[in-house]
Amino acid sequence: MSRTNHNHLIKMVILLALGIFALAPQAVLASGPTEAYIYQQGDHNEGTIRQSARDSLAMQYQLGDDNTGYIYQSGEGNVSIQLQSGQFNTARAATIGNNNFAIQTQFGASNSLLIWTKGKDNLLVQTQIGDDNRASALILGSKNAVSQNQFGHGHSSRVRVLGDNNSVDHLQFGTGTDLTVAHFGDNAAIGVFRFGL
Amino acid sequence: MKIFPGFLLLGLITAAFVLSSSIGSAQGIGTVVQVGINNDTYVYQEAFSEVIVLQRGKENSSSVEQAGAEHLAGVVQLGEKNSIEVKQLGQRDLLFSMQLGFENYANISQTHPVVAPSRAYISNNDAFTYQQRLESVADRR
Repeated sequence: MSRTNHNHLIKMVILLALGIFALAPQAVLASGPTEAYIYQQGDHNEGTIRQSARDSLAMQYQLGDDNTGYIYQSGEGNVSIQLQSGQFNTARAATIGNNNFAIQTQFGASNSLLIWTKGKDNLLVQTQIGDDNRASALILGSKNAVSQNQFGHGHSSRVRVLGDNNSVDHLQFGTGTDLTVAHFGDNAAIGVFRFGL
Repeated sequence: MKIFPGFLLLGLITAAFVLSSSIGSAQGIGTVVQVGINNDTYVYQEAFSEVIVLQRGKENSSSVEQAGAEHLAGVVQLGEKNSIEVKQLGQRDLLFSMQLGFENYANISQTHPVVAPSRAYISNNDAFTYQQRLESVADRR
């Protein structure tokens, strides 16, 4: 065997070995791993993540003091993200089912967010910029999309959905507005805008 | 003799990929980063998981409990009066901890779970602990 052929054989063996070992983890794990990430900068922050299935992702970012974040996910393919910046903010998200996505954002002080979802393929977005705001969403169904956005002070939003393929969009500006939506059924689109002085 | 470097290279690359694939095949991955004072972390994982905890500040505590086999845990603390408590309840576990500062405390236990029928689950565990500065205490069982 010539030296060129020998070197070529060695390269082929190396490539084969690399291919086998690079593909081995993917063959063993058909779905992705469950990942949890917590970043805290400040004092007395509390972050809790509970996950009991594969292929899920939970992330918590807490900047400031005395913030509380809680994520619970049971099912595959769920993603929950919490961003908190300020003081005494509380965000809780509980997801039961598959392929749900939830993101909660808080900038300010003494804000509160709650998500409870049971179903699949739901999308929930909650945003609070200001102080003393409250928002909660309870979803039982699939393929629902809920957006709750509060900018200002002292707002309150409650969304309850029982059904599939619904869309709810809440937008609150100013001070001290209240919104409550309770919907039972499928294929509805609900949009609300409120401004308070 | 001329083919020896080729096979040596093959072996090194293979070993590297074996190690990287075993780490990358974890079913649960946890990462915690805390910057501040008086923060606490508790992580519980079951089989084939890995966790990385980074804490910077004073009076932080990190508690890791891993049940099952083949875990990887890495805990790093920068500051004073920090504490690490790690329990790896299985076999083929690996722990790496580092504490830089005064009056830190580390308690590392690699043992069998309470419900295990025997002590046969204690095997092939590795722990690497590093503490810098004085008055630090490491207790490894």
